[in-house]
Order: sequence, then C-alpha cells, then structure tokens
Amino acid sequence: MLNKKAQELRRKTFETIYRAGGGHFGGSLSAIEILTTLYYDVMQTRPQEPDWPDRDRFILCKGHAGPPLYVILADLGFIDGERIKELDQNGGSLPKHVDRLKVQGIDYSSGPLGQGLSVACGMAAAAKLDGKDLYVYALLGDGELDEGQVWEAAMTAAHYHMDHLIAIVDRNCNQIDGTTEDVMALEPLTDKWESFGWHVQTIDGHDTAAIRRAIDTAKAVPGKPSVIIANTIKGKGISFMENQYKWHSGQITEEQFAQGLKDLEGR
Amino acid sequence: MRQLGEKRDTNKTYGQTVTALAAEDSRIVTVEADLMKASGSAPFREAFPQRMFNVGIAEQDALSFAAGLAAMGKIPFAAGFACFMAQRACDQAQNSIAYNNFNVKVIGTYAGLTSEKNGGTHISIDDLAIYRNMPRFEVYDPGDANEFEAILRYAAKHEGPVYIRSNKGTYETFTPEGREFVPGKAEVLSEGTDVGLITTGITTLQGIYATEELQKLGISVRHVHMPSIKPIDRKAIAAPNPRRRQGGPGPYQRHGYSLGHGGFAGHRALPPRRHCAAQGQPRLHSD
Repeated sequence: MLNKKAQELRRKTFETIYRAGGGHFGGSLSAIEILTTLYYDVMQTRPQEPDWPDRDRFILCKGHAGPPLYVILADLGFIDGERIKELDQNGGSLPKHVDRLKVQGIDYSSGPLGQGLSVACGMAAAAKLDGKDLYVYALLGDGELDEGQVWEAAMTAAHYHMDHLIAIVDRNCNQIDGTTEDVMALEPLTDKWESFGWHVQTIDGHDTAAIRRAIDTAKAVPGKPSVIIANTIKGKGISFMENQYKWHSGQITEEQFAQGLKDLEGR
Repeated sequence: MRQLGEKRDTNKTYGQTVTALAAEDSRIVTVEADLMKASGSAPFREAFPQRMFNVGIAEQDALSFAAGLAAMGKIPFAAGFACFMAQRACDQAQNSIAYNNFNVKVIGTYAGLTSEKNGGTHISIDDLAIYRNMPRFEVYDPGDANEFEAILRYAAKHEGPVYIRSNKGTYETFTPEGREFVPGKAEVLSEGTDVGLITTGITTLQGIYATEELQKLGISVRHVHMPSIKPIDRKAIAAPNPRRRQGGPGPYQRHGYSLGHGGFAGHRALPPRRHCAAQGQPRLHSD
C-alpha cells in the first residue's frame, strides 16, 4: 500500500519538477520512500490543523528536496493541490527550498545545508522541557554531512540524551561534484555516528516497511538520539538519472520526460 | 548635560535580568556557547538549570538550536562573544533565525572595543552592521547597564528576533533605572549650537565626558544618544545641527565607521564632500 503511494508520489514529483522547468531531480527522487513512510505511516500531524502544538515535527535539512514534500503536503490537504504548479515560478508561492512562512505544514525553512539538525535539537529540547511525547524527525542529505555544524549538532543531541530526535540520512552516495567518496569521503559513516553517541541503523531507503521498522526500533532506544542511514539511489526510478551525480539538479527535454514516465510505468 | 549615576556592571545585569524575566515567563530559556562567564548568566543556571542549554564552543549550533527552541514557542536568549555571534554565526542568524522569523534574542557579549585585551581577533566592530542588514532583526546598543536591563525587558516582550550588545565592564550610568525602553527613539542629552555629537552604546559616556570638556572651552554641544540602531530615529539624525561650523554631526562610536549607526548618520547627514573623503566610495544600505 505504502509502496504504491510512493510510486504515485514519485511520478507526481518527477512531473512537477519537469513542469517547473527543471530542478533537483536526483535528491528528490531518492527521498520518496522516506518521506512517504514519515507522512503516511509514522508522523502524527493534522492537515486541517497544521499548527497543532503536539504534532511531530519534521525538518527537511536537505531543503532542495522541497518538490516531493510539497506534493505530499498537497496530497494530504495541507496546501491546495493547484499550488503545485507554482513551484519555482516567478510570483509563485512554492520556492524549491522549503519555506515555512509561505507553505503550511513546513516546520522550518531550510536550504543552507548543515543547520537543520541543530534546529531539530532545539525543537527536541523544548518538547522535552514541556514534557511532550512528540518526535522530531530530520532528513539530511549525505553530502550535507560535509558541513561541520552537523557534527556540532550530533554532539549536542547525544550530550542532552535526545531520544525523541530521529535523524535519517538519505545515503544516495552522490553530491553535486561527484560521488560522496570522491568529493569528501564519508565512510566509515556508521562508525562516525556511533562514536558521536548515536544509535545507528542502516537500511534500504526504498523499502517502506524497513523504514517503518527502523523508526520503531529508534523510538525504543532510551537516552540517546537515533540515526537511520537509508541507502538510496539518487534519481531513483528514472533510468538515465539513477546513480548519476550530474542529475543532482538539471533540466530535461520532452523526450527525456517521456522516457522517465515510461521508466516509472514499467515498475 | 546628563548627571552621571552609580556604576553598574553589565554582566551582573544580564544574569539578574534574564533570571528575573524567566521567573515571570516560563517560555524564557537561555543558550550559551561555553561563555557563561562572559555573559554573566550563572544565576540563571542556578535558578533554572533545566532551562539553560550550553552547547559548548559552537556558536553556529547555538543560534540554530535557539531557532529550534523558538519554533516550539520558547523565548531563547542566546549569548556569545559579539564577534562570533555576528561573524561566525552570521549565516545561522540570517537563515535559522531571521529568514524563519523566529523569536530569538541574540546577545553579543564583549562588544565593540570592550574585548580589547583579548586582541584584535576578539574585537567586534561590525556586529551592529551585520545584524542591521538582516531582515526582521531589531538591533540595540545600550548606553549603560540600566538601559541594557530595559532593552532586555523590552526584548522579552517583543515578538521577533533582536540583537543586543552587551558591553563588558562596569560603568557609570546616565539613564534612570527602571525606565521603559522605547525602540527607535534617540535621546538628546545636551543641546548646543557649535558641535553635533551622535553616540551609541557605552561610547555615549565618552560623549558626555567630551561634552563636558568642550563646554569648558566655551563650545556648546548637541549630544544625541542613540541606543536604537534598528529601528533608527531618522528625525534625530536629520535634525539640523544649528550650525555646521564644526562640520555637522560627528558620529562617534566603537564600531566600524561606515557600517554602524555612524554609517547611517554619515549617509543621511554629513555633507557629501566630507562624507566621501571619510569613506571613499559610499556604500548604501537598506534600513
């Protein structure tokens, strides 16, 4: 069921970015199952009451993956579906990097990489102070882990025993200038997080059931923050984009769009 | 000329005031970056240990963390050396706080030249300019500890990001204790017809001393104290000095000339020829 929803959202995301004149295909398509599982299976939110104080919080640290999140917010009724057409348009209300002041359902305007996890820590700290049982989820890009501030936040989260903070790394292994290991090696990534005091799981980031299981496991870990390293494929589902770092962002032709739709239908 | 009052310490004022405010409002929390000693917030930690978050020597994390607290309805006061809050954590102030419009109060300690004994790397002469250029931030440079307390109290009630300078040291006071702070309002400390002096922060004290010396020489001074950098009191700057014999208003502050309130005053009030000579290519700012 969730996988079917993910496929629908992947197609809508692909179409939305194409119709906007191009954009961040690669990292949007790699994050579909993660976002789908969070919004359709895990997180407690109320589309008709987006500011509900006890809702779970979500920070899209990799703010460039705005399009699939907008598609989801429209699908769930947080925003009017017609607004999807405004993505990246002059005078439009949906900038590609998510904007909380423009879009209901966004908890934090992101884009400058590296800051989101710190913000998530602050949210988790405040929730704990108020005795709220809500969870804070942060989706980071793997390239984003190059930013030093991520590791400042990783220390803070462990120091304050933030067991209601769950970070998910979209480990698609590609960033703008090349593979993560070519540009700035991240491995051994599990060891890094473990040594910072985090509970670490590595899963298939395109398997919605595995994502759900990992989140359940993370919630059961007391006294420390959890990170889920979700192995994904950049540009997932589009034959000519898969695992190609050059499709971090770009524009596609009408023929490529047709090919992409064919790829997605073939699944 | 303003009579000077008793000396009052900046750091102690911060600790006392933020603790008192926190007792009145449970939303108030503090964030520190291993510089509690410089901000003076130890009494807060003693009173409300659960409501202080020290993130270690990590100013960038501190400001984004404060943004997250504010996102949940808290009112964080985040303190750190002014030079690092403005320069190192500039991006976090701009994006995590200002762009998101979160209700964070940033306290820049050891501001201006008050960190001079730490050497040039710790002197903060562009923090006002940096924060003045950020959307949504209000920017204040208190003249003395009484005014510092008044601004902290104002900031706690004001919804929106605020940057406040904390000027290290114990100084004579010239504003009355307990006076309510009015944003965007300058204060005329002395009227005169020969020299115009606009000062901000603790430099106003120097301005008061200078006024006294000048008056002894028979030179009268119109001295304006301007703690509110943004919003700025345009009228007070634009108010014509009675005579330009001494070259019009002379902005004097512990801050880079071209970018603080001096920059503003310079652009608005100085004769163009003098202005260009002082600054080279003029740089204009939104305000």
